[in-house]
Amino acid sequence: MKIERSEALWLIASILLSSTPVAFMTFEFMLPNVSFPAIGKNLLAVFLLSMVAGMPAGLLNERTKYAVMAVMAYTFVGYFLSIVFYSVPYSVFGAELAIPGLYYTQFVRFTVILIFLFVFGGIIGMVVGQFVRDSIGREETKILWSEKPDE
Amino acid sequence: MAGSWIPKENRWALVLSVLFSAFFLVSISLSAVTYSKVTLAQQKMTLEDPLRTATLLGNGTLVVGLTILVNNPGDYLVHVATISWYTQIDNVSGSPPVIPLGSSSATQGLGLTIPAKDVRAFTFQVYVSGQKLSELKGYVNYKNSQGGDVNITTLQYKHSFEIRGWFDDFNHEYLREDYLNQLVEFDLRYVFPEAVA
Repeated sequence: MKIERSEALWLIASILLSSTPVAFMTFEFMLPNVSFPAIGKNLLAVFLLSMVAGMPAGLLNERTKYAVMAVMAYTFVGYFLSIVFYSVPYSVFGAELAIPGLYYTQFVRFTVILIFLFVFGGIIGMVVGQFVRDSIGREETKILWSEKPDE
Repeated sequence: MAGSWIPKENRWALVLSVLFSAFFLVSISLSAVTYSKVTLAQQKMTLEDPLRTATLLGNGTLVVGLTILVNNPGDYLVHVATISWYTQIDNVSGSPPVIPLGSSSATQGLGLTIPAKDVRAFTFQVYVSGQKLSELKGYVNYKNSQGGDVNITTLQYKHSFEIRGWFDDFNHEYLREDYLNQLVEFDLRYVFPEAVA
């Protein structure tokens, strides 16, 4: 089935909106002592927060296929965004970077495990988001059908 | 209307998602700025203008000293963990191979700090007399007998100064992740004459 314009917009919106918590969690996991708010290197907290980050994908995307796509996409966009923020001292503020290859390799080595948590937690969050969305839809239909017609 | 394509039941979800996302965008931006400022503070902190002195007092006592400036141009207060200094003569005549003249050290118990964007001078002095002064004079005589032209105040006294500490109140006591400690700590050394590798 062809993707509709509104579906594409919701997909993009959910990717952009959920990428920032992923970026923050990755950055914070790498540098907890200079981050605010600091959740420390706590994988359980990261997993729980990644569930919350996955909820917009379920809430905003009507079709499950696009919701799952959103989870995958925002994980990778967020991860890339965290690398961009990680490079800020050198790319924006002009600090000296001795060994660039090692610098970024270290980042990936310390944080790559989080990608699995983001995807797994995100899909659970997405399912919860879809459940909430469906519940709201059912409730609204019920309320709509129980209203008495105007006389 | 811009919002016409947004289904009514999606609006609250969109608003919450935007707020949720904005919070983390602000957080990561602030964190990245903090990270940058700490990195720059660490890279720009320097030891400057070392002044080595050797003065002979009227009573024959030798005073050997070092004054050095610690420049903290960063935005963070510096807590000094340790300061150490020693001065000695490397005795090329062989015995004893080193003539230690004096040393000084301090740990964080003193509560030394260097304010942000400030320069602090550290001065160390040692008074050399008695047996130690006799050894130095013997060394001067040896140098001059080997064709040198030195006296006790123009000898090349070796100085070693080291200052270590950390910035502000950033956590720097990680047991396993030493890179996090190194991120917010500094270790500056001054050695004269510089060791040749």
